[in-house]
Amino acid sequence: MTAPPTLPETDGAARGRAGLWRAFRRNRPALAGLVFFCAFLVLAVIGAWATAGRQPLLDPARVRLEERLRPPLSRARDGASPPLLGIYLLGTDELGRDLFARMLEGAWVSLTVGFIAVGISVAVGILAGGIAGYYGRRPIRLRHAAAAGALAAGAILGWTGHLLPGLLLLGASLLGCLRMRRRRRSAPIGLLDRPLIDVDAFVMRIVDILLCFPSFFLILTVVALLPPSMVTIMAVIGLTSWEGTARFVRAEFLSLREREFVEAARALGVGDPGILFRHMLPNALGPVLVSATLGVASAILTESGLSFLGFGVPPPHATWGNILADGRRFLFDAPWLTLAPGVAILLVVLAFNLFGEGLRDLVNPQAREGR
Amino acid sequence: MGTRRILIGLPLAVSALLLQSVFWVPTYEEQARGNPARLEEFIQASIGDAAVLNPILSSDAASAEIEQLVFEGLLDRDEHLRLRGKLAESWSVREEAFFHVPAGQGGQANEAVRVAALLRERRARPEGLPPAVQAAVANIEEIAIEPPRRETREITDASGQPLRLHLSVPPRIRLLLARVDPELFAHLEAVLGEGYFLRFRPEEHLEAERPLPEEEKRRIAGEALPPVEHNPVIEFRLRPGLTFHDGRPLTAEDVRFTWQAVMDPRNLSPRASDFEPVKEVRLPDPLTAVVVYKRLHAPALASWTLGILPRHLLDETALRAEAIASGKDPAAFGIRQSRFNRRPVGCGPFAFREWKSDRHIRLERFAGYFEGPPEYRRFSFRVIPDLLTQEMEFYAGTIDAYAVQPHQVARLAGDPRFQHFSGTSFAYTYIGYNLRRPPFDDPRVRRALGLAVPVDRIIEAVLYGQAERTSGPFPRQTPFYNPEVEPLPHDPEAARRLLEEAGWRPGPEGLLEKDGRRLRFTLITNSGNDVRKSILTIVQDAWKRLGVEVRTDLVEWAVFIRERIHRLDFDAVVLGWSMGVEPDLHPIWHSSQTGPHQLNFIGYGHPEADALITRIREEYDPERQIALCRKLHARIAADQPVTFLYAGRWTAVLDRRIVIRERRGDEIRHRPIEPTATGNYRYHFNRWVKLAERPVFAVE
Amino acid sequence: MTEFLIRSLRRKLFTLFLVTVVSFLIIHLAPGEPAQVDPLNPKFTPEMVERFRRAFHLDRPLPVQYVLFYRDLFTGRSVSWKDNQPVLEKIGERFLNSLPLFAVGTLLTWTLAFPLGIHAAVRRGGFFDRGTAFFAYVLISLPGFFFAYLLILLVVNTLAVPVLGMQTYGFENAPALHRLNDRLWHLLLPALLGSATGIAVLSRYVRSQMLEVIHQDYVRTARAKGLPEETVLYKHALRNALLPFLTMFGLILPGLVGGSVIIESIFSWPGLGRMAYEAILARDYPVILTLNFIAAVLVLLGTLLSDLLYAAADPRIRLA
Repeated sequence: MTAPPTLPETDGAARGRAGLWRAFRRNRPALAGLVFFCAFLVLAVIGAWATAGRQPLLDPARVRLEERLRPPLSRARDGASPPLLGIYLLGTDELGRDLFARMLEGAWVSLTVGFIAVGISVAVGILAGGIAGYYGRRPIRLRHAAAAGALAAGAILGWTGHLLPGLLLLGASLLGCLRMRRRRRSAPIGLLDRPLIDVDAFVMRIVDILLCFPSFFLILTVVALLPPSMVTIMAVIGLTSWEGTARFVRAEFLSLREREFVEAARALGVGDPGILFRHMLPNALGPVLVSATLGVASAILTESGLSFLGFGVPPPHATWGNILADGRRFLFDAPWLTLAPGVAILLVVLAFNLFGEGLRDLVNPQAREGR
Repeated sequence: MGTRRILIGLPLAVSALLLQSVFWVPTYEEQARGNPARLEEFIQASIGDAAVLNPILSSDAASAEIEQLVFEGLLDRDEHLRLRGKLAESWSVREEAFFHVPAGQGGQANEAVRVAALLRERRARPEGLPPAVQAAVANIEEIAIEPPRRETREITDASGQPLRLHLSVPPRIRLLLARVDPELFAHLEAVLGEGYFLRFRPEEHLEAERPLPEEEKRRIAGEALPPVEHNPVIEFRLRPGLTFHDGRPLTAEDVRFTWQAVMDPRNLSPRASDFEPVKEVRLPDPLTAVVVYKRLHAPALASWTLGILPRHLLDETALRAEAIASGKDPAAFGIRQSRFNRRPVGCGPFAFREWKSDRHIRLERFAGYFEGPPEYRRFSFRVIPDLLTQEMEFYAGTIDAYAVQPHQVARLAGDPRFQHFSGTSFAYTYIGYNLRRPPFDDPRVRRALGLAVPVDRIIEAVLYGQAERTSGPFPRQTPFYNPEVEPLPHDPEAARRLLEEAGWRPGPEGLLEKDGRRLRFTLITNSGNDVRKSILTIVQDAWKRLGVEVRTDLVEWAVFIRERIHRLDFDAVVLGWSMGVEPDLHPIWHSSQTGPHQLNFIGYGHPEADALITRIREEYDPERQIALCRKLHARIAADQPVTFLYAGRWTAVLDRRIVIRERRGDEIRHRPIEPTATGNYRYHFNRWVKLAERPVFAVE
Repeated sequence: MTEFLIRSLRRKLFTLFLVTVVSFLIIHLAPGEPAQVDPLNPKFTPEMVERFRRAFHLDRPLPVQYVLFYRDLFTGRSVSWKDNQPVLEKIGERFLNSLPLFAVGTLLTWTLAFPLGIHAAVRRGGFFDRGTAFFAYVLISLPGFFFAYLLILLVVNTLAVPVLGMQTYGFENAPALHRLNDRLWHLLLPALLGSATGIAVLSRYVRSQMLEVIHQDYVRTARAKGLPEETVLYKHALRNALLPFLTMFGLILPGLVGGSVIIESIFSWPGLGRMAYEAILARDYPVILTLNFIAAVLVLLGTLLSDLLYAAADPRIRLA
């Protein structure tokens, strides 16, 4: 199996910060993306602040039955619980809830979903890619597999309610692991030390398996089968989208491993974690950042797609995806319920994409050379 | 150099080809463009596909809709929901009643002769008896004595072991009644003496192959030789000359076969509970089916609205041949496995043509339909899972009818292109409380919670006025609904007072407390239903204002049913029941049905309600049944085990070009579609037709 | 070469096995009943539910269910829980429906993207480049279903013509020319929607690949030889930039299953994507698992195909 074309190696640290910024500023769409992204961030934070608490400034859950399906910019008729300034900035939905307040709340939730999902994906991707790239050729031996198997079995037993046998098995396997470490230098028992597969091949095999599932179909299946919750959705999106990150972190590490500064660090006696996190990771961070930015965009899109199919973040959380999905029933009677979240998703995702592409141009010096 | 030209030219050419096609497609106003047959076809949209097109197997609404057109029952319901003959030209209901005589002086044979003579005499000279008893005796048409006999039976005992019984059945009196009389034996006691029927001891006539405990023996004997027995008998006389769509005649054999198919355990028919009380179906001649019941079962008659299956396609030989042809095990091959369910043959107005899963089902009119073929040449059932998509298809003229949503009603009703109809549905929505859990075991709390729910506002705001308040378990348009029971008013003040009476007083932060415990619970419903979701929000808001701490949760359907409803693990739920015309409330409201996996999951039980539910099941007289139902309605409403919210209103929108065609001899006239008294606008569907131009009718 | 093929196939078969195990486990994460059992229907008794469970092996231990299921799948005996139809037959029918959509979408994507990307690369930084770049990002960022609804709304409101499904309903008896055009019309919107994002992504990719080769020596040489610009770009430059696209081309195959869930749902297009969605909704496990299996096979076939193409196109790559 061949690896896909990876991005050329990054050398971002070599360039001056000021130079980078200047280069970035020249990329107008990317700059616009950044500005919009910052504005969106501020808005989301303000939104989270303004819509939370017992007596929020803007209450997204307040039902005003007399005010349902009011168009944008209409004045509140009900004096009892008026919205901010007495105006429904973006109109109201079928229960008379203030769409503006819901959009603000949704901004925060959408952002959380995007960031946490991508956080998970990047963390898993770096870990898997890093291990594969750095430890590459080391074999996984039968005893490792046995220990991992016992650990997993113990955890599953404990999880499914057989607490005692689960804990026993867990304890036993942990003990086994410790003893294994201690006896590393002593004469190995032949069978248990049989190498099964090397680390790199193992990680790439997992990636292969993951790639065999069409990603949206997989996400949809898992989300549909599990009880709906925001955590599930973030975790599922995160756990199904890390293979790209893993692949280029691996490629990066494979080449970095042979570089002089790593050799030097190793010669100086720096431990594996030190080399990995202090010396190698920062050098691979550029493309990771790019893919993370683009990842947030696609996570927000994925969440809205799931919401559209009825498997999104469940109420009471408002997200742009489920506002849109709920609102489309009223396409003829209240088009603003579809347009506002649709346009908002478009703008934010666009901002992330433009910003991410700008970043990519930055960390990919070749792309700028042709000028 | 072509690469570039190909890369640009090819997609542009393809796009151009695709774009020009718009001029060939029919529009709403010109639905017949390129396709004149469109006017002869009725296209119905549906959210979901049918599951199985067999009336004895299906349990979903989509399948039922098709089956109604393809199959025909012995009976159906007329404009006023009364039963009327369909395949059956006429029918009559009688009863055979049996009782064993106790061992009197001179043995049971003599006692039987004595009792028979006594009854005959009292029938001839009823003077001096109370009027009800007189009527009961006059109802007896025939009195006969069945001779004693011996019988051996295999049963399974309480521990599941097989057990052989030897019965020496004593002589039995057989009474033939002109009409069903559930109180016959109570009345006969006035003639034969108080407690007469209890004097018969079944255990004296039974010998088991191994000794049984006294208690057990009495129970088994009571089941094997019941002292009294009601056997209602329905006699159907079929129309002559009926044929199935494949041209084969429909006879009483098919009626009996349909019953056997329902009861065949291989078929897992969901209708089995309706037909389990049938004892036998006798066929005195090819056009007469006599259905004998084991016991009183008032829903019996209405169950024969079930579509009749063709025996020649589904009997043992046919199934065997099909199993062998398709390489399957004939022993495990039942009707459920048959291809018939994908291409049914019935005798209804439309014959089945084609079924493409999740796309459509097509029916063609049946020229040999006994009421004359329908006007529409074709009926199509389109599966469109998305409501908005349905609406758009309707505007494009490619469907004729769809489920109009409440918020669309006002807009569509104002459109001059359409005619619209509406009526109350047979389903109602309610908030159910888990009566096993405090605080719902206190009727005052339930009533208070009900009083606090702004139902009128829910109807107004969530359903856009497209619903009616309901106060009890029966559909509003049936006579069983008790119009004298008023729905709960919206009165938060009264609710507050009731709660205080029940001991719930506002504590700090205004939340209600009793003995240091807060009034708090979770209100759940299934996800994917927008109306219920909105109700959840409104009810939560209303109860919060009372000081009740309500959490809400939407649970995915399978989990909702399995983990919550079936395990009885919930506080309060928003749900709906879809009712039939029959007033049988046993599965939903009887106290014997409160276990896990049963339908009375709220745990309602009241001795009076139980008694009424059982009586309604056994009452054959429509007037008395109505009276009982109204009493039951009042009983349940008084207990408020659930908060009855509303019965939805459905609205149907049709193109104005669709009209009713009337043929009188050679003359053809059109008139606009009018709904029946119960709101059924499709009653005359077989005479509908679509015209090319919108007709103008004189204002009447 | 054969050795490589055998080794690659063996690896892929092993991966496929792991995929079947993983997907089977995923499916059993969730609670659920066979779709035919409607627990709230008064006519359904618990015994009946139990009988259904037995009929579908749901009472057997998981490994046994696994073996039974895949045995049924390979022998073509597994049936949908929803309507008792053979799964493979259902999928075959849907596959044929998805095919034209997929073909037109792919055709539009894999033709239009190249001239657009190349032109943008040549006019780097110019108006065309910026314009297409921005437009491409808008297309990538637009939620597909939002776009679809806007388009449908526009067409239905202005023209009042049917746009959903594969053809105007009830049009089978119309003259052939009408029918053909009707089918084409129904293909138009979903195919455009399906290819819009593809064109946007691919054209950006073409552009960046072209930028890498456009300043290479051989391109300069070709220009110096006085060849027409078109020949230089489309023959010399493009051929060398083409290599990475082989990988992508191999990977469009699985898009047949998972790529069009939303579009097919909106247009009620009876294809594989909508089938997958419906199967998930109904928890029709045999269909979900079979689709998953087919998707995995397609992915593995795609990678194999692209490996082979790669080897054929680039002699530097040894199949080792």
